[in-house]
Amino acid sequence: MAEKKLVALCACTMGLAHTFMAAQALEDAAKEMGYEVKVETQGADGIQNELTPAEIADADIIIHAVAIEPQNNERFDDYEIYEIGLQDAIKNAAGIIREIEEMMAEG
Amino acid sequence: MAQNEVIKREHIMLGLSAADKEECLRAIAQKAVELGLCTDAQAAYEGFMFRESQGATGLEDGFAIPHTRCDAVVKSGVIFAKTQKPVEWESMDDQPVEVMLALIVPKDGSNEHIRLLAALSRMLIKKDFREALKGSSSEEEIFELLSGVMNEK
Repeated sequence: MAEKKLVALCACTMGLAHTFMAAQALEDAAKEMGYEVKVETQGADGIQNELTPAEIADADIIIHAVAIEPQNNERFDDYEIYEIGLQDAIKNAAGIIREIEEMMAEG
Repeated sequence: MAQNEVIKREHIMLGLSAADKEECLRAIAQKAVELGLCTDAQAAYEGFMFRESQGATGLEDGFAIPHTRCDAVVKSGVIFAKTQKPVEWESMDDQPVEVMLALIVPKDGSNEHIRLLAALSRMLIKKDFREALKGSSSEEEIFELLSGVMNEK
């Protein structure tokens, strides 16, 4: 079976600290849980590690950890997005991914 | 080159005597002026407080990451501060704060500098990095820890 894939987008109001902490937390937790992971950041340095439509289409889990309306949000229009708070991502990324897995299992 | 601009030994404040969050941020704002990062301590303080009003910047294990990107900032930099006693600060684990990593960026700050600060933010979620910073009372050691992260970038 191909590796499970998780993509996420992180964006906070000022784009200096929490965006990047949340991104790192999600990357670490997802890797630990056996996911191939890519996290886009929309911070003060602009859009980094931008997710392509193909990567979004291909993902098993799509997470938005945002405090603002992200740019190019229409990329995600046709998909189910799990929206979480940046603080939750920073504090408990693994727990959140596990919760999402449970929700998906229940259908 | 860039990392030397963002963090220098004199950016590290140990044994800060402050009774609360406001005093911490005032001291950091004052330091930012002395270091030539900001032009006006009051404006820098208000910049930090504005960000706090949108949601406090306390993390876990006694850490906080106050930041500002206001008009008073002329140069990107990091100020690391450790208080003598923990101070009350809304945080993710409801614990008081004793270690602050303040990020200071001008409105037109370069992406290169922002990325250095982002690398530091990313390291702060790692428990062993936090413990190393918290456990050290050596300016030299803390400087090496902080600048080491940026050199890897």
